[in-house]
Amino acid sequence: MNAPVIALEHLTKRYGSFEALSDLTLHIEKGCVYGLLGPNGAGKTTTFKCMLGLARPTSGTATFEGAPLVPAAFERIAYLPERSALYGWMTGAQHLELSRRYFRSFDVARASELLAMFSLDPRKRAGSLSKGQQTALALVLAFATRPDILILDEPASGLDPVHQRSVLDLIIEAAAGGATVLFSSHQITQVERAADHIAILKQGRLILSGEVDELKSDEKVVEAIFDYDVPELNGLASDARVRRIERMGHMLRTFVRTDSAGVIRDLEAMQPKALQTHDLNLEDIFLNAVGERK
Amino acid sequence: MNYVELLRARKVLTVYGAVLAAVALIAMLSSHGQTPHMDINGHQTTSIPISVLILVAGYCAAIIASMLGTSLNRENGGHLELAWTKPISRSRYAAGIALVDILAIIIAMAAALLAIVAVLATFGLATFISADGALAATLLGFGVALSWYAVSQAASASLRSKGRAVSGFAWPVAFALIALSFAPLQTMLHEVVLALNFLNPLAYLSTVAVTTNDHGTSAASGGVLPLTLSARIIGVYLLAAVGLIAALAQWRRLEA
Repeated sequence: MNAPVIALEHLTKRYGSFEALSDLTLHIEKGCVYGLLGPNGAGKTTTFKCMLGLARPTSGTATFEGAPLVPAAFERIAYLPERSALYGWMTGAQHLELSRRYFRSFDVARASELLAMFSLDPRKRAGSLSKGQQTALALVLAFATRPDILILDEPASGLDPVHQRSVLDLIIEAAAGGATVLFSSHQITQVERAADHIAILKQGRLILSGEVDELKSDEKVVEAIFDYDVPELNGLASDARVRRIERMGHMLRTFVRTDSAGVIRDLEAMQPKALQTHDLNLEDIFLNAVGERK
Repeated sequence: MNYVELLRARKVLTVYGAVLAAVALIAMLSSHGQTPHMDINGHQTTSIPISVLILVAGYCAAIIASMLGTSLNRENGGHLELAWTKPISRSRYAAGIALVDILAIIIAMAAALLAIVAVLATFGLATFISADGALAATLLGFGVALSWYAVSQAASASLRSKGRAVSGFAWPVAFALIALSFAPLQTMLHEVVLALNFLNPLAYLSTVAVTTNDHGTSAASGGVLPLTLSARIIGVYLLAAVGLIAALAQWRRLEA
C-alpha cells in the first residue's frame, strides 16, 4: 500500500458550539481520485479549508506526504474554492499573470489551451463573467500550474454540461498523469464517473469511505418483475440478509447484504416474470449512507 | 512586490494624478498676468519654507495612504482562498502588499510636492522657496502618511468588510480629536483626548511649523502633542510600526 499523499487525522473544527467537522480521519493515496460527498452543510468545504490551513482545526492534523503543510507546498497543490475568490476588477489575463508570478511551474501554453477549452476571453474582467465562467477561470488557474495535488471544491459548479464533462476529463487526465485529486460535488454522476474512492460526510462526520468498486459490490440489488402485484414476501423483509426492500408497482427491489444467491432462490420461488441482479450505483450508496432514501 | 496590489495602487495613483494635474492646471491658468507678490498675514515675506510645502504634500500622501490602507481588509473580502494558497508565507504576502502601498505613498507625496512647486513657479514664486527644514519636514510628512496607512490597516485588517467605511470615518474622527484638544475640557477629559491623539497620525502634523535656526537646527512649534520635532518624528514612525505589526498579526490569524 502506498503512503498517503494526504493524511487527515482526527480533524475536528468547531465554530462556537457548532461542530462543523468531527474527528475526520482520511488517507488519500497518490494518484487517487477521491470524491467527497455529502449533503449541504456536511463539512466538505470545512474539510478543505482545515487541510489547507485556511481555517484552523480545533484539533487533529493534516499532512501532505507525511509533513505538515508549509507555504512552499502550494507550488504543487492547487485549490479551487467553492465560492469564487477571483478579483472582480481584474481581467482573466491579469489573474493568469498573478499565477505566473507566484508559481514557477505555471505553464503559459497550458493556460492558453485551457482558456480555449472553456471558451474564455482573458480580456474580460472576472466580475463581468457568469458564475460558470468564473469557475472555469478558477479551473484554468488551478490546472495551469500542473499541480501534483488538486483539491477542488465543486469544480463543475455553474458550468454547462459540455464544460462539466471537460472538467471530469481534466480530473481523469491529471490522475492519469500521477496527480492526486480530492474533489467534492453534489452531482453524484460526476463523482461516479471520475472518482475511484469516495468519502461521505454527514453533519461533519465521516459515515462511509472506500473504493467505489468495492462499495458498489458490497451490496447487490435484486430486481424482480411480476405479472401481477408483488406477492407476499414471506418474511423476506425482516431477513437478516436483506437490508431494505422497495416495492414499485409490479417491481420489487431487494437490497441484499449477503448471500445474494440465496435471496435470488427465494425470489425465484415467487415466480417473477423477470429477475436481475446488479451492483449498487453511487446514488444508492450515497442515499443509503445519508439515510435520505424514502 | 504583490501584483494585485500593484494593479490596485496603479488605479489609485492614476485617479490621484489626474486630480492633482487638474488642480495644478486650474491654479496655473488662474496665474495668467499676475506678478509675484508675497504677503502673508500683512507682512512682506522673503521666502517660502519648503518644509511647509512638504507637509502639505504629506497631507496629500495621507489621502492616498487612507485609500490604500485597507488593502489587507480587501483581501479578506473573499480573496483569502486565492491569496493564501500561493507558495509564500502570509507575512511575505502582506509585506509585498505593504511594500507596493508604501512606494505608492512616496510617489503620491513626491507628485504633490512637484505639483505645488510647479504652481508656485507659474506664479513666479519658485525663487522664493527656501530649503528650511526640508529633511525634518520630509521625515515628518512621510511619517504621518505612513502611520495613517498603518493605523488604517490595523483598524481594518481583521474586518470581513466595512474597510472603506473605517477608512472614510477615520478622517472626521482624526479632525475631531484635534479640535477637541483645543476645546476647554475638564483636565481628565483633556488627558483622554491627548492620549487618543497619540494614536492620531494627523495630530503629529497639526499646526506644526518647522523652522531652521541660524545654526541649521530644525524645530517644530505649536501642535496638539506636547512633543519636540524629533519626538514627533520618532513617535509617528513608532505609531506606524506598531500599526503595521498589529495589522499583520490580525491578518495572519484570520480564517478564510
